[in-house]
Amino acid sequence: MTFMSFILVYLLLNPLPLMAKSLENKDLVIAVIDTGIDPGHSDLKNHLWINTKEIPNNQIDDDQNGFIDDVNGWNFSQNNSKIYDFHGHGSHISGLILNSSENSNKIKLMTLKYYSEGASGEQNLRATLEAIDYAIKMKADIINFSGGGPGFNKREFDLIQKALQQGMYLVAAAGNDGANIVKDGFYPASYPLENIITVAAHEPLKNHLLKTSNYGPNIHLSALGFEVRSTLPGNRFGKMSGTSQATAIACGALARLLIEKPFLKGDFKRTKNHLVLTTSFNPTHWGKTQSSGLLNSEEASYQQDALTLFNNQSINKDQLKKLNDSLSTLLNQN
Amino acid sequence: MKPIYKKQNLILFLILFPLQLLAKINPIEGSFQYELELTQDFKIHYHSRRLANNLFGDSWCSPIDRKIIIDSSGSPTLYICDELFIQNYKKMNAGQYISVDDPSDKIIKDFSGYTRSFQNTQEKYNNNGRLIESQNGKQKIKIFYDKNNVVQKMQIGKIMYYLSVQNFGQISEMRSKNTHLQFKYESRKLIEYQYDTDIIRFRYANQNLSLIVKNQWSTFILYDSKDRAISYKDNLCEIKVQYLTDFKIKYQKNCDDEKEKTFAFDIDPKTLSLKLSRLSRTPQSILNKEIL
Repeated sequence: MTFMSFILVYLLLNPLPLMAKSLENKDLVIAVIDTGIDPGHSDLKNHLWINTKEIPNNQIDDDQNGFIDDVNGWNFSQNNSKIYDFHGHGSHISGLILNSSENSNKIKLMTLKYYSEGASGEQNLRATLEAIDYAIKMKADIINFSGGGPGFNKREFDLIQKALQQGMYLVAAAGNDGANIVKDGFYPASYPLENIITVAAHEPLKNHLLKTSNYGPNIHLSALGFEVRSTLPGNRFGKMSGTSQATAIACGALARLLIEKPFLKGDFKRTKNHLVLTTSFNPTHWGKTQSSGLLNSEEASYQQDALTLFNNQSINKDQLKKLNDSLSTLLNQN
Repeated sequence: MKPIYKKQNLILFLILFPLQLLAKINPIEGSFQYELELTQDFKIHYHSRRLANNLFGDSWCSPIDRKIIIDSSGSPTLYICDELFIQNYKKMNAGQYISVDDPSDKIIKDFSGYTRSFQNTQEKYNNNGRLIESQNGKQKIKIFYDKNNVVQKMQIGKIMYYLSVQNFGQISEMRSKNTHLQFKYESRKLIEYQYDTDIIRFRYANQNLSLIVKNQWSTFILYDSKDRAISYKDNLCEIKVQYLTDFKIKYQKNCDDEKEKTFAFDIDPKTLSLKLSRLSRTPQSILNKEIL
């Protein structure tokens, strides 16, 4: 075997270094499947993904991807290139992703508008599916879906599986029904796919999961989801609550992780371990999420590799000590 | 003339969201209904979106609020509760007419008036188109009029009720050997119903679309705003129906002893039927505060 063929075989078997290298030199593209964006907002306008193969407003599908003038994304709700956010949710989510990433200059947001208040549930679902398909075709790195609903959908499952095969993450909201999603099911959060990171919402003042947040052992972690400040259309700002916000914050943390540790890209298990094992343990989350903890982006970024965390017994001991302490307190109170 | 409401929709009204205290909400059109039992076989219904002037006041419909009117072509049209339900008939043979919507609904004209047969019901109308007899299974009602076509008395089963009618045509009294029912109106709206010592009061607000009912057992409020949002409250539950769009509603039920339940429905504009939005994807947050 020649040296070159050895290198070729090595790269085929170990694609991560190649992917990581490629990621170092390009922006991280996050497809935000939501209600659109205010592209003129001072905090957002410099972070719009640009489809460089498309010439703006020439009414021609220059890149022949089936979408005319899809320069910054697409409106699947109305099937056009107008992505302005009349609702507010999408702009809020977009701002949160950037703000929590700590590396917003390396992030581009692909705006995929799926939701319209006037559309039926089935229409919104159909638009969601088309948006996921677009994100896959246009090779986004992460999909942020601060939405969801009841009803398993085979096509949605297949598309997210396709995203998995392409090395794409999907950060999904656990939902706001205050229910156990193992029992009730909330999608796409409930799909058992390795590339999905599911996020519940935490309420800091009460120091437990937001009352309306869904929970369950298939939810990976929680993040701040109560009265979170972020961008709103019309260059405004406002506070919103829900698992949507928690999802966007976790998405920002994932983006930060992939930018700072590009070797994790595409290794879903390691990436998730990294986020899950570095959470700040909260005994009130015990049994409600996999990590029983709150996202700790700093810690996730600080730790070299999640694999080392597996062997670091002090983390688990620390968690167990905190649990024992809280249980003792509870027992004493009763 | 086309029927304003088809029968299938009327049936749908009645099976949707059965609530306590005989009140029903119809989220499709944003209305609520309330049923008041005057005697064992005689009930009157309130329908918040029907403003027709009937024997028990605006928006209230009784089993005897129906008449036949002959159009210019000689075909009969049946009006139930004035504008709630209109049924057209076409001529089959001489003196025989069939409903344009339901072939089992027929009217036969003879020298004494009209006889309508439909499912389990047989109704007789005089030559002026006034209902004089209605039989539904074992339940039989006979209605008697004076020479001015004003209703005078009514026989329900074996009991004869003598009626007093006030100036605007509303029934103010129903008296039998053992029963004395009284009705008070304000601007053609029923505001008080008295049965012996029991009194139920009705209050209307917001362009006739709200109804507050008080009786000695409970108090509950049906509130129906202009945008068709409805809330219903009694001692146990609070129910809110909110229109997100013309074809999408949110139904919330909050009872003391259980967790709040929220359902989303899509309305099929063709059939006006409700479909639970099992397949939907929606944003998962609410706006708390805007900061300028």
